[in-house]
Amino acid sequence: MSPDTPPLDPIFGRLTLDAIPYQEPILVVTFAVVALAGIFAVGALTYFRLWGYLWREWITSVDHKRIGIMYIVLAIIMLVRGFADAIMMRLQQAIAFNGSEGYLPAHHYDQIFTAHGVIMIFFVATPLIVGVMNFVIPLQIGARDVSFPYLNNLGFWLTAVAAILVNVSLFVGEFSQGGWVGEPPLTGAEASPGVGVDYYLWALQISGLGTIIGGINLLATIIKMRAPGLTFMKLPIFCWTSLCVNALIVLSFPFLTIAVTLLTLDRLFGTHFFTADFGGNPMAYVNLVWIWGHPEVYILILPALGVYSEVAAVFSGKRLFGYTSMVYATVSITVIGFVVWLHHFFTMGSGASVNGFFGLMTALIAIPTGVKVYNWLFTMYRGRVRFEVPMMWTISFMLTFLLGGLTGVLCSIPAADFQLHNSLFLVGHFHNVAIGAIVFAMMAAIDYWFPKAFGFRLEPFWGKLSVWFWTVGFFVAFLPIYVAGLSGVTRRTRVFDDPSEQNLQILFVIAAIGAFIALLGVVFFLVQLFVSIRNREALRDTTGDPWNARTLEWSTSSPPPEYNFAFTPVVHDVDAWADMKARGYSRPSEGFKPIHMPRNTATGIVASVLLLIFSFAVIWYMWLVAGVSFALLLLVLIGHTFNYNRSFHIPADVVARTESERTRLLAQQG
Amino acid sequence: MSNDSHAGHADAHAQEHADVDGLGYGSLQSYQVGLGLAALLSALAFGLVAIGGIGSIQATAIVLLAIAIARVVVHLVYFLRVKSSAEGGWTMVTTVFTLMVVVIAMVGSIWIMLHQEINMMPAPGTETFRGQ
Amino acid sequence: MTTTTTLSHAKDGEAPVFYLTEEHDHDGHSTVIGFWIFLMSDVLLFCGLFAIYAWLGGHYANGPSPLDDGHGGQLFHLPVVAVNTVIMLASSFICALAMVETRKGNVGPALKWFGLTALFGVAFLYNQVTEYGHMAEIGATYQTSAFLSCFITLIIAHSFHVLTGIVWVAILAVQVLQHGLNPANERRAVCFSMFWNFIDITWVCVFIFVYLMGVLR
Repeated sequence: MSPDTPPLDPIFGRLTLDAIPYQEPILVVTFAVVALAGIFAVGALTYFRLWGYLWREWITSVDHKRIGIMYIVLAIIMLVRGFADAIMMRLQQAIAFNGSEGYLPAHHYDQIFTAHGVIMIFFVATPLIVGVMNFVIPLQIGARDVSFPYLNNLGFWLTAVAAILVNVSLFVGEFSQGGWVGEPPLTGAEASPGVGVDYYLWALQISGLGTIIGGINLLATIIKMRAPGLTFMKLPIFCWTSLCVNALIVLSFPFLTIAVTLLTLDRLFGTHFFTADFGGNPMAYVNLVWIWGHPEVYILILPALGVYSEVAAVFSGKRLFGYTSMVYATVSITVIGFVVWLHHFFTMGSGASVNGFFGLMTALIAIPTGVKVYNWLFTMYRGRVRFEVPMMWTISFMLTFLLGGLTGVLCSIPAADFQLHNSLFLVGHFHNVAIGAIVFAMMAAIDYWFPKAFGFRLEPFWGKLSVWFWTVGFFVAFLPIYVAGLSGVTRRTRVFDDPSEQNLQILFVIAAIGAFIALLGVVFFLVQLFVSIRNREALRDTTGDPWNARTLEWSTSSPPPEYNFAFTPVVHDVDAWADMKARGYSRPSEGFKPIHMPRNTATGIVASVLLLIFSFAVIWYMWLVAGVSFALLLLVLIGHTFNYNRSFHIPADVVARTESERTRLLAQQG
Repeated sequence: MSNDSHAGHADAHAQEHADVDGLGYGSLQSYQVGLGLAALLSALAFGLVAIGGIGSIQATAIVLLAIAIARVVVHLVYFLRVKSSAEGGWTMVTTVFTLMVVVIAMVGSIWIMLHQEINMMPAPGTETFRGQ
Repeated sequence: MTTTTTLSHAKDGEAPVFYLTEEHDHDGHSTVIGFWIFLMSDVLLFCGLFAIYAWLGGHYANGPSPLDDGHGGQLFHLPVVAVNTVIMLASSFICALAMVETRKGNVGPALKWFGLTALFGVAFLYNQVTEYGHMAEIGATYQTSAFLSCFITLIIAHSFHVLTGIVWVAILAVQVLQHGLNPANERRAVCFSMFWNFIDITWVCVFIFVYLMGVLR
């Protein structure tokens, strides 16, 4: 925005043909593949006449189950993108020794490590947990839907268009080179005048908005829509962790919004929040962003811990050990999670007393986490452990997470952190907890709840292969990273001069091999999906309860009907479904009533697409387009409030027909 | 959000009141008390600054902080009717949690900043609390 | 969902009740708590702005400061702030009166008081715009210093909420004229009154922490 820049094109702003990176072969090939896949998908949808079905049943759906599944599909697609980035980085670092420049230029490499972090956190981990929560929570609390079905749809589409924005940056312009939290002054207007940081900021802003909307919705759902009798101390642990997670989302994401907004203002309007001159202070950004950033870590990990609690209890055939202590541990993690943020910048120079306090608080959080690990172990103790795929993920998690937790405690000591800060040791630590806890949990969750969502199980053979390759791949990839970090290698390095003659290259070669082993884990997971869909008739589950599980979602059919439960369940015990099975619950077969349900709406996707156009226009300074799309966006959102006809009743005979079909299937079982 | 299901408008109306009671709704009397207290506290704050404060700057700032807290509480209690019985106590719980985070974020940020400025020796003219 | 009117009994008469046989209409039962939670996240949005103001609010960078606008005057004009405080408080009270009428189902009086609330909001915005127009004239803009960046962003964030409130109540008035004070509109009125009170609470923090404490320094 300096005065000597040439005047902007009135329509295209600063977007010119130069912004298309056609001179970079990697990107051209990627684009060709994506374009071919896109054309193929569009062609297939048109050929099979699926557009209408897709629009009516999925895109405009306000059904929490459908939205949850769409979140997970989005996350799996983005996982492939994020993993490709990881492989490219591992290859670059394995090659770039002894005078070799590797194969990635700095401009490209820096975008890759930023995109990898942003995608994995915001568009893989977050959609996975939000998707699983969306699918599971209303079923577990015996509700028909969430509190705000339209906002649920809007929240998903906001996340989706933010993901699209990140991917657009791959082919139009560039992405940020400032790391996944984008700390100024590197991301300020002077050091990064290009569009990369703007893409980053708007993607975060939009996905943050979507996440807050989702958080409010799920929080209100758990507070207001629990089935009769389902008091808080009877709530399944997954719902408890989700309650805490959504509270964390609502309480912490506003700080990300503020940090991102202020940095946008700095770049767009020349304010002086985080500049190094005119009284600005870049450290203020670091502080703000980590007030959000640390709770975000717990936002991602608490649902994972909830999933393990469900899986451990079901596959040990026992009630969860220490339910009450689990609840208190979850709540303590939630609260303490807010007073540890400075441990991300011990080295910033706040001195011994500040560092001491935050270091102590960080170490303290290991206690409730330890309580949880012991609870899972004692749940398994003397249980009839069934080594199904979800349970294998859980056991693999316990081993991996133990290591990650211990290195975390090492990092929490400020004196040690001065050595470990920004080193690969830190990278090893957070991948250890992110992969070991979040990825494994979400894999377990997909394996565990897949039969509920689609009515057939996933093929266990490929699932077990996926567990083994992920686990082994993880250790092969990250143990050398720990060693390299202790030897002093800093993160995000592109080319290594190794004057110490230690020959660290071997570590990076091993790490690259590990990354490929883990890649096979991802591939086997996709193969598992493919094989299971092909063999779905053989894997079909008509009972609705294939695992002999304990919570309410397994009391209804698989997949559940649109209305979830023909009659609202009444809960008497912690494990409501186990209790119902033990005390002779008989399924009602008559007396069905019309059921009140929310109506689909297209406002969510229309508004989100308009916001996508608006943000793209602002990134490229196309002020005319930005103005028009923003006006349309307001019009759509306000117009939606004039729609009072938002719900309908499913007639009693439709409910009766659906339920008698289920009765027939159950009778076939014998 | 439908209105078609509420054919008997008067009945539905009465039931809605029960649902939203506590938040947004209060008696005229509570609003009048709130108005009086809020006006008094605001006048007190402006008056305090108009007379040049009491004693030191710190003392005045602490009194102003107390007035601000009191004014917010008056608003929450008399206008917004936040109490432990409304919405099954959930407005109270969410408010308490939010205020906890506000206090943590504000106190933490200021503490971190002050120590940083002592340790990092900022450029002249950018100390946050000049003249203290 | 705690009220259970009719409970079904399983056949043998001994097993406990595992489901309700009646359907309950829960339309809009989450709106108030949901909106309240949204307001809480909005509180933290402002908390972030106040935190950044606490950090950078004293960084004048040799530019204007609250007591010295560089032209021999004060940057902060407390009389204007006092007038705005009175306007805000009065509009909160008027909004409360509108809610009293809403509760009684009196469309006319409710709309009258809501209209007056919006009018006070417009007056507040008018004062703000004149005040910051004046600041811009003497060269005190958001690009001048970190202090002014924080200060003006905070004020704009608050004024934006006031503007949103005014637009909201105008739309609500149209909808009430269309459909009367039906349950949906009544919920919207309740949410609006919460929102408007929240704006006033934010203004309390602005005038005490920014203006009054600013002139103390």
